[in-house]
Amino acid sequence: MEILFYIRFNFKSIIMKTNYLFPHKFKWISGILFIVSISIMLCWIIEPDIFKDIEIKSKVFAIAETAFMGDNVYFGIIDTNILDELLMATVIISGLVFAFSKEKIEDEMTSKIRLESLVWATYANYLIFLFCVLFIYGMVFLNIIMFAFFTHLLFFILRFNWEIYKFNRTTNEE
Amino acid sequence: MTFHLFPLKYKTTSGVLYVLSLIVLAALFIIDSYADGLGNKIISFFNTHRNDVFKPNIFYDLFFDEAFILINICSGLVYAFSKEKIENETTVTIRYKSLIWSFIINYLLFLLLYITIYGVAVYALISVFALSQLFIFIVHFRITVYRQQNKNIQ
Repeated sequence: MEILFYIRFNFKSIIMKTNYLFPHKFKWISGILFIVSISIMLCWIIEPDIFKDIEIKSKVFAIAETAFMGDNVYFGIIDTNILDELLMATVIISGLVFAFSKEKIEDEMTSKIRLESLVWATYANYLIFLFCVLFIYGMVFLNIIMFAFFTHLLFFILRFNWEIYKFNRTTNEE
Repeated sequence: MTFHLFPLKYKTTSGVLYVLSLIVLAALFIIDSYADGLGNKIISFFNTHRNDVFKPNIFYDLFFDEAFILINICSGLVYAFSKEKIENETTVTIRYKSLIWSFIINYLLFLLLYITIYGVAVYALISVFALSQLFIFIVHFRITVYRQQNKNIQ
């Protein structure tokens, strides 16, 4: 009860102080999960047939199911293979936790590197996406937008960790 | 800290261009989704180079769409990352938090829809969410900066 009262009366200050970062203890486990799941996801996008024999059938709620041929289903229960949904959930959740976990030493320099990496990843991803929009056509384009969706997170993670590594090395040398 | 930011003078122009291109893209998406025949009639005027059988959504292989995606991304990036009139530590902090927030919200919203939408519509979903992160960031950043300025005036 005391916690609820605290949250109720300090809600505004909690929101102002929040930094949207996850605790450092989740970094390694989420990192391993992210690397494994995104590798599987990328293989799957490149070669869709590699998992054709693996199926996890389940009844799930669907807002919409649209088919090339056949009936569309809206707000109903459907029987489908949920392997890709599970994989997508693992990639996104582990990726976000890994990307936005606190560092061991969380100071102004870490925040600066994080901000610069976020801006850099946004520029890089949108410019590459734009290049693909202008010069790639047909079915391949669908794979490209699927890639582009994940490369944003990937670019940020790579750039941020590289910059942190460089910064730590320089600090240690000094 | 302002290394990656564009000058303030581009803000208004890019903002207007961004909103206009967003409206056109949203209109194209709606026309395409709900009135395919009408959409084809309107857009076929701009179809200069191909006739594809498979047209998933707004990303038709047409010059018209690509031109607006080009305008949307370029103006969106400039508008999102232009300097503010008063560029201080608070602005930097707000920008930083808005970026993280937009990243997390965009991916979680996508995931929520991805696990409840199946079939061809997933491609439409991905194409929308590829552009939406910038939009979410801009909206969150502008609202927070506006609130902060109001608070300072008070």
